[in-house]
Amino acid sequence: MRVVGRGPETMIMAHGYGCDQNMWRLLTPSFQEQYRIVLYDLVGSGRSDLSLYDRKKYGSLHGHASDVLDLAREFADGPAVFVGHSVSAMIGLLAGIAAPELFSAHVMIGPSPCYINDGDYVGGFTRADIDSLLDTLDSNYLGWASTMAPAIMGAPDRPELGQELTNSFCATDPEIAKHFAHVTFLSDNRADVHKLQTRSLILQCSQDLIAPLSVGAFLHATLPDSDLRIVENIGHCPHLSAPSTIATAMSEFLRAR
Amino acid sequence: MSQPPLEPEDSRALYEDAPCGLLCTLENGTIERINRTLCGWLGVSAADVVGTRRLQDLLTVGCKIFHQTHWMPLLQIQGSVAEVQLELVHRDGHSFPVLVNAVRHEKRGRIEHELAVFVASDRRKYERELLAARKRAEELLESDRAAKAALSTAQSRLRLALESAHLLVWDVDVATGTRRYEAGVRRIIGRSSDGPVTAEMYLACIHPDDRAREQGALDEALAADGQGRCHAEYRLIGHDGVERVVSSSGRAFADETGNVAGFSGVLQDVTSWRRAEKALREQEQQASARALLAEQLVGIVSHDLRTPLNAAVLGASLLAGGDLTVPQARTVTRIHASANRASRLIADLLDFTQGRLGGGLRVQRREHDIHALVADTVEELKLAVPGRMIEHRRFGEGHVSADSDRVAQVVTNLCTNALTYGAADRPVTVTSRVSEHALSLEVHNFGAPIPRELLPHIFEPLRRGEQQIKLGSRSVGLGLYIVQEIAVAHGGQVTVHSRQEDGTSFVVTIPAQYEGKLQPATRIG
Repeated sequence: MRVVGRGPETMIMAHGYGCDQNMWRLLTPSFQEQYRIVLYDLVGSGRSDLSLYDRKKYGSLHGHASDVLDLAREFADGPAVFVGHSVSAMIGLLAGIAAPELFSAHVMIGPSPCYINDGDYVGGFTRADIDSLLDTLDSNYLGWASTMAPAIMGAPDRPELGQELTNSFCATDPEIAKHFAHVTFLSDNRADVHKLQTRSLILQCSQDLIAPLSVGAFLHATLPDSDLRIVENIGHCPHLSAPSTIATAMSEFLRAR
Repeated sequence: MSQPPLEPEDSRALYEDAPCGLLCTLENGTIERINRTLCGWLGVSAADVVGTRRLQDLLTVGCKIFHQTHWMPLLQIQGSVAEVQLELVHRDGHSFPVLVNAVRHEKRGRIEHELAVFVASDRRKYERELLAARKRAEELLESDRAAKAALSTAQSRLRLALESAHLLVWDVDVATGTRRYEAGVRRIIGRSSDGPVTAEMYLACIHPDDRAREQGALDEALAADGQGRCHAEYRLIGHDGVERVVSSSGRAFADETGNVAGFSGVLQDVTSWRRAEKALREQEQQASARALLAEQLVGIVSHDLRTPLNAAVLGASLLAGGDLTVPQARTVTRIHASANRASRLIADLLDFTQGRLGGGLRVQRREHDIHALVADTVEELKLAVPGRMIEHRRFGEGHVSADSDRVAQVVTNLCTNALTYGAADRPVTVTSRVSEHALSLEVHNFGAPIPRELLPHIFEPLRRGEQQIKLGSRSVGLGLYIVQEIAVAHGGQVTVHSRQEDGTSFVVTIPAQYEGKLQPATRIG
């Protein structure tokens, strides 16, 4: 857990499936003045204490949501802005439903309440697709070892990235990663979406394999108080590939109160 | 040596036909350049894909997700990725595994990704096997761990059981014949110092008289045709000078071929048990000897008292026939009555000692008119207790073979009992029944029933009813005991029924024909 910035309000940023809090490095500078930003690694990801990964507790997103509540109670000064990427947007939603008084707003980047197609609902994937992902994770079981190793080709245009960071980024116990992939991609929180009363911003990428446009539309239609912004971006990580667009959209949303 | 400059022609050939696939994309994945090698693997021409397809379009769905969640962030933050395994899809639909290295560059004001692709089918196969082997190994490790945990649990349970039963373990190395004793054995051979207990140490402590027996039991267990088990109890003379009794049990176990492969046993210090058993036995013996002596004493004293009492009764009778003043006559009558009562008490005591020590009362059976006998006895009782009602009912006719004095004693004892404990305002009923097969005498009274908890013991000697009877009564608690003894001596039995609504009935049944003595039988209802 890390705290950056010196603003009067608290902002909690939760990374999505696959990586860790370093995802936020391009976005945090835009909010350091107005917010105290709490950054953390989900238990089981990044450099969290893997021994705390209890498969029963984290067998559903509620386990992660209860961690968010603990974090908000302990570190937030008054209601916090919760920024969740991908699966963490839903973790934030569950936390916000459980204790609305802890949150002033939710920012959801590339959220999806359900990844698998179901009747009229288009989540983007079939069950077979998810099985194929798990298979890919399995085949990178060994490949990951080298992904985690010091980058052999280096990153000449990013000298600020220390060795330490490179080693931990995206690295975690492969078995936990698989379990988390199961929990994430088989989760279905559509029935919870309408319960979130806090205002929220949906940042939907124009071309996102993980969360297609139809999912953003579903969320916007179901959330009681939400703004939907389509970000021109290919991929699932606009806060990395289009950080300034994301920062602007967030600032406008947070100012409009 | 400096290498020769690369001709444009050569570099182009090297690029197109390099022994790896080469690919250049924009940041969003759109293919900018692709070499011939990779085109060949994918079954496409460069013209098919450049500018129109993206890297992610060449991937299987699982890899697409992986690409977005892992590859893209890694490349963006780290600037490069190495040896990531992906599945590319051939134009005909089949997929094949590749290893990819990629670098992110900023060129001409835009971001480009350069990728080198290697087919990794064999490596993939190898990795899968490795993975499967690892999974197997982990499973084996897990089952090994589970087995070890189970073993450890079993061992600690066994230890707990041994400790709580104060059992000490020893075994025999069958190959060398050496005995081994666990360190705790030092306790029973009285060694205070720590350290192992050797066979020599232990054997030296066995009582010299018991050594051969101890060794013999073990030899028998280990013999090829033996039972495989041994048990011996022997004495140990400890280093502390204390003699202890040890119970040793053991069992040999065989290998697959049936030969003795090992022997394990347990030792238990049974000194205190043996001591307690011995003390208990001695106490029991002493108690029964004391009881016997007391009963014999009662018999002797009662017998010897009879003669002087008879003299007193006779003397009083003689005096009563003389010329006496009224106060003198009253005194003589009192002496006569008291001496008679003492005689009856002594008669009871003699019956008791006869029953207890002499193998039961002796009876002399003769043919009698039982109804008349009972009627006479009832009349006598009526005289003794004026004011109380005693009714006699008779059923059946005929003579019965019985001891007339004893029958009268039964009626007297049961009536005395009924008059003592029964309701004073209701009659006591004596019923004599004579049939072809048996004689039965029933004495019934109304009043409070005999407490249930007392019923099972009511025929035992020296038992009385619940209320303390008045001082001076002739009963010392032998009445019912003697009734039972008389019934048994006649080959019969006595039963009791006692209920609030019915009152209390004692019934003595004597069979008409009787050869020899039967087991005492008492029924209680």
